[in-house]
Amino acid sequence: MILYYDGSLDGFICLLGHAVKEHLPVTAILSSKKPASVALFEQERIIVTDPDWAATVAGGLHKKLGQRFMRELAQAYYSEEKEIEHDLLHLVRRALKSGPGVLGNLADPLINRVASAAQKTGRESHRLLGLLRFRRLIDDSYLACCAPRTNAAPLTGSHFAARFQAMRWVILDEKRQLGIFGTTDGWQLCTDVAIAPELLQHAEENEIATLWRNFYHNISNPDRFNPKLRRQFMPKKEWRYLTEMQPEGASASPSESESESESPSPSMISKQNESR
Amino acid sequence: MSVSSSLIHLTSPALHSSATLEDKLRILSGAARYDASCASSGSTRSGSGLGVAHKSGICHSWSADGRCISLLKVLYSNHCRYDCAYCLNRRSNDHQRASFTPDELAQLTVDFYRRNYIEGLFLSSAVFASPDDTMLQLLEALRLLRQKYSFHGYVHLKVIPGCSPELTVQAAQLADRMSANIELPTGQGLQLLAPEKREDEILQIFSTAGELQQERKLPARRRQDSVANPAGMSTQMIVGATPDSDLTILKRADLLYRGSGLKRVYYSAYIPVNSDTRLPALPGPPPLLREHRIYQADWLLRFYQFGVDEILDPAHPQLDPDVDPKAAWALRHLEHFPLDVNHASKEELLRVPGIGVRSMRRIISARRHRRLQSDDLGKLGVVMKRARYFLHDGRFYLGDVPQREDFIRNALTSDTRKKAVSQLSFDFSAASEMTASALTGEL
Repeated sequence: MILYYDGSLDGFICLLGHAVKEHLPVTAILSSKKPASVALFEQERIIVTDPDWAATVAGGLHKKLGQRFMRELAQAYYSEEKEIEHDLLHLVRRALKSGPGVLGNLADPLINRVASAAQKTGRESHRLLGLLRFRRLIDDSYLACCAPRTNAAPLTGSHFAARFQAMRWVILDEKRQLGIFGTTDGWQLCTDVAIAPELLQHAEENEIATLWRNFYHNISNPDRFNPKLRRQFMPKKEWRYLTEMQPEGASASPSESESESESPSPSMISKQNESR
Repeated sequence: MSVSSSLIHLTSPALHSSATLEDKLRILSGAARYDASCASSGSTRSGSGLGVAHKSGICHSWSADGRCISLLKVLYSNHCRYDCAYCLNRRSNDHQRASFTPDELAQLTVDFYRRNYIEGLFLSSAVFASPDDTMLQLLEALRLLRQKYSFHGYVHLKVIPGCSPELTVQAAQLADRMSANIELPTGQGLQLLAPEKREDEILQIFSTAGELQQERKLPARRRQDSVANPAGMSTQMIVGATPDSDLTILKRADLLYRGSGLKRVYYSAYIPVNSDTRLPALPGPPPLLREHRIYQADWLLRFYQFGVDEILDPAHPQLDPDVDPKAAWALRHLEHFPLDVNHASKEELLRVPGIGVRSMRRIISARRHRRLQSDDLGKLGVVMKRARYFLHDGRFYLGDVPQREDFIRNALTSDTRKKAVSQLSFDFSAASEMTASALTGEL
């Protein structure tokens, strides 16, 4: 049987609930956002996302399998590895049979795939904690753009909510059109976030960015110059979003910069389809 | 403490400087680049306002020398009364001097923090006035940051040697980590190169901080107030400025870890910035490979339950440049190997080159479920190109050369030699624990 769902974490949790409860013989799990080629004579079913049912299922799994298992599940899911949903369904079935300890069986191919997928997301979300760069916008909010390989941005929400308590801030995953909106009392995830083209930075932004670049270049010790080592820790593909790696004045005026590095203002970002 | 505030203002170097903020930052970050410490780990400070400390630390960027940037690392001032032979900021050097004001520094820290450029502030200073007055200025800047700006991010403060212990205690309330650089492994070396810096003054700071740490072990109700200096104390030693051997350096480090309760010792390859007859003239580039090997040995002391005398002895006082210190130990002790990966204890596994703390834990966990074989180990994060010569899986020896020192040494070094030719500096990928630790803000 092929299961279709809407590609959201809630949708996937609903799918887990149905598949486990009804003992569905699942052969493939497909996100219905992507058009799929359907095999003949295969049974199909479309799973409808129901946030209440998702919460019930997640609560039940949490009770049976524990916090660590749920975190591993979410991180592996957010890795967006090919067919990870199918692996995760198998993993949940095995864990329900023999306990969350199955995660320790790291030499098992299935567990190993899930563990390395989870590790990939976990590692990238930790990197985002350091590498996200916020810019102050004219409405006094702070915006950071990114395009992570995994869907790691939502995992950084509570970190920034704790440290930027009195600030309004947004993390925008440009690849997935996801926005994490920080408010004075927490954060929320919004999908289908669109960017307005004309955006304005705060007057002090250029000056602070210049000071930071100034610091960045002066803290390096020329006698130890080792660009290869730097690229090992901070690959070039990540430089696009880093203030210190931009030539002087590049991110300065949004009107001159390319549309990719455009700076949207949260007040100018339209939120649709709010979830969570 | 009875230093009148008028005196502070009289001695404040800020009054003499008219540089712009940009100039100051250029001068005072350039002067701070010789401090190797970048850690932002070990503290869980939080509160209402701006910022929290992150337990494992966070790297925010990497500079062109490949070192991680976690903190806004600056000197408060580079006006110095001292004339230390090795130091760029010594009195007799004729170069631009500058000083921040406490408010400039606090504002800059907050501006950078809000943009997620940094985890916090690393504040050091040249000794522009008496040690007490210098220290008071630094404390004023930190107080402003903590109180006026309600900043709860990470602060690393360099304690000024010779300041009174009360000020060290006050500093511990404001900072997450404190440090004082011992610079050289022996008091004589320090006497020679930094006659105005006294070893006993630095040890005094360590002992004051050590007492605070003892207090932390008391039950919560008997502690006086909030946790002081939660991330502990660190120090730095210069490698290669004096003829001290690796053994002398590591013995000193071990003593600092065990005796003085330090959290970290940093090592900094000596780079001549001054011409001084007391200093060695180094013909080549800074001894980076030596520094790297000492760091690896330091890791063995802290995370792998090695003793200094296992790594080096008076007959062999220098680390082997060709292989890492753990591999060097294993090659000297082939009688312990090969180990059965399915039965070896935790401690035994940690001694295998190519197995780190993480892969050891994964092995222990995975082998509860099934017998491990050669193919499984790579997936568990074991660096097989080194580990295979020291392991068997119960049936087969995993190496492809005979269990003899010369064969294994040859196999271990053939790979790194190729790289060493193509690269003037050394190869970091040889140290997987270093890469991982860089992620966590350590080193």
